[in-house]
Amino acid sequence: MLSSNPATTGLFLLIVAGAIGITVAAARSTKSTSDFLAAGGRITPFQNGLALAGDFMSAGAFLGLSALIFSSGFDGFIYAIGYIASWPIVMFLVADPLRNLGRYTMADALSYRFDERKIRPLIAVISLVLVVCYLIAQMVGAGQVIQLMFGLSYAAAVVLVGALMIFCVMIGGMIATTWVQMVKAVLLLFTGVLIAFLTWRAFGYDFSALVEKAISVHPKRSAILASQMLPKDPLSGISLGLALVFGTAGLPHILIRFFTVKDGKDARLSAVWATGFIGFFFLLLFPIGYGAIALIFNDPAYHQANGALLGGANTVSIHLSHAVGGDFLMAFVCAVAFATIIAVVAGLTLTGASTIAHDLLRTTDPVSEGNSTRGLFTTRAVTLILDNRNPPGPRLSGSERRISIGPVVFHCRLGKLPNSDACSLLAATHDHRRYRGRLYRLGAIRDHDRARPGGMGQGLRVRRACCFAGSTDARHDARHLPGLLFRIGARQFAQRYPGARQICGAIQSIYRLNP
Amino acid sequence: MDDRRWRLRVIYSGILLAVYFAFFFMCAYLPERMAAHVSSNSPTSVAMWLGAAIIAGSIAMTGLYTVSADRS
Repeated sequence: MLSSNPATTGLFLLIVAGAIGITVAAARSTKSTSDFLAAGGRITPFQNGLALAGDFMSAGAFLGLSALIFSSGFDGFIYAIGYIASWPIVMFLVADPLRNLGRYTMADALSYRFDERKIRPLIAVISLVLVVCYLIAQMVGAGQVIQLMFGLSYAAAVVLVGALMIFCVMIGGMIATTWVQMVKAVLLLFTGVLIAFLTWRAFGYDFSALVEKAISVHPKRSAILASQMLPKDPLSGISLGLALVFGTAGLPHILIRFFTVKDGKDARLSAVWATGFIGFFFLLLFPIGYGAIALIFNDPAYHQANGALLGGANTVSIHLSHAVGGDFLMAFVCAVAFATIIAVVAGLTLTGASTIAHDLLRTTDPVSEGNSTRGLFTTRAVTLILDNRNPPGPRLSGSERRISIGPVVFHCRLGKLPNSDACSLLAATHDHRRYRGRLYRLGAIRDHDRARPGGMGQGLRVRRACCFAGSTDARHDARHLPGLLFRIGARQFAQRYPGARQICGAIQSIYRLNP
Repeated sequence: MDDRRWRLRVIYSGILLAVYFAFFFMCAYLPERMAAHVSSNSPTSVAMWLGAAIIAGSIAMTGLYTVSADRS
């Protein structure tokens, strides 16, 4: 127990005060649902990469992996290597499309491909199960660390961490969570570098001497230099490998972090930064893990009478910090381990909240459920005006045009569909230049949007849409339509603004009817 | 543009998965070879260096992909 050490108490209180301070500061800039669940998309790629690293490098990575290396040698690295190999996969296959298709949760993106009424509850349940399982692991770490620091009971430690995190997330939302995770990531990286450096220094800056010593004290001898516990059965091996490499791509608290940046490109850059930070930290586990074997495996000061490690197997890093840096470093590492836990718990709590609010209760987007009275009125009014023209592009019947135009303008007027997106959608079936003036007169677009040459803010997208509308091949082959619409971004908008989904359906039916 | 990006995604993912699973199964089936020292002067093993190379390669691959994707 370290409670007699004033440094421990001071650093612990500093971490708690820091988390509360960040929360209070963040609460001032949390004004909307988007701020609360996705930080308003205002996080930069570097900040998000740091926060992703902070979210990912949990107590399991810091305390658990070093403990696994301590007991089994290289087997711990198999997991570390699998985790880091999963980040390029996240970047290649998930980050970019997820940011473009979703708003707050993974279910947003998946309901683009599947029936929303079925996929949302399913994903919500899966996300909540994952969050709860992950939370249990973090709470076990919290219990052990606080027990070691203050001698508090396990239950009291869990209640304390839980109450602090509920306060942080409830008041500060995603902005507070992001900053807590960033601070924690910096602290953890600094701690890792410090412990690795001091361990390296203890062996005269000779990594070979460190490894030789580890081999000489570990009962498995040189077997700790390679994996001994991997399954020999090919199917089990493939199963474990796939879980390690693709597992990260299914962690809901990691995936929601991609919604906090501006666009898909920033989401990719976030993943690059995150991979760099996490990879660097995992490389530090080589000297930390083998250093722990070399320095504390046979040291009775860190073991109980029965030979078990003091405080449990997961406290290897903490004992190593004491061996190389004394009481103060141990107190600092305990405080960082605690910060690690509260940051990850904050991310998980927010993920659970967004899943319940956005996917299960659907409280964040009432318009998507259909505001029938206002929507019907607006749609009819707009249809009356727009319906008497026969625009170039695909020839539409009156009912087809009502279906396709009405919801766009309706959502545009409610402020749910950005003007550029609305015009892109309209441009897929109509001459956007002709309709721009009408939309302006209706108040659906602003003056500067109308005046801007080349289209509504996102001219390139509009031009692509027009090219598509005028493309003979596309008009003659309805089978290619979903892919083409996806390329021009129209289907992305349809997903992002569920009311506009009818437009895609209408466009498809138009092409089927008028090849 | 998207076709090229998807091609990049498939190629990069394929390379990464091939290298990772090759390493994984070498560790599973050839533990003695992987535990062998890389040289007579160093106690570090082949597995340690390959593992470090995969970590460094993963970082490099993300940077390379984002440059390629931005150009496409």
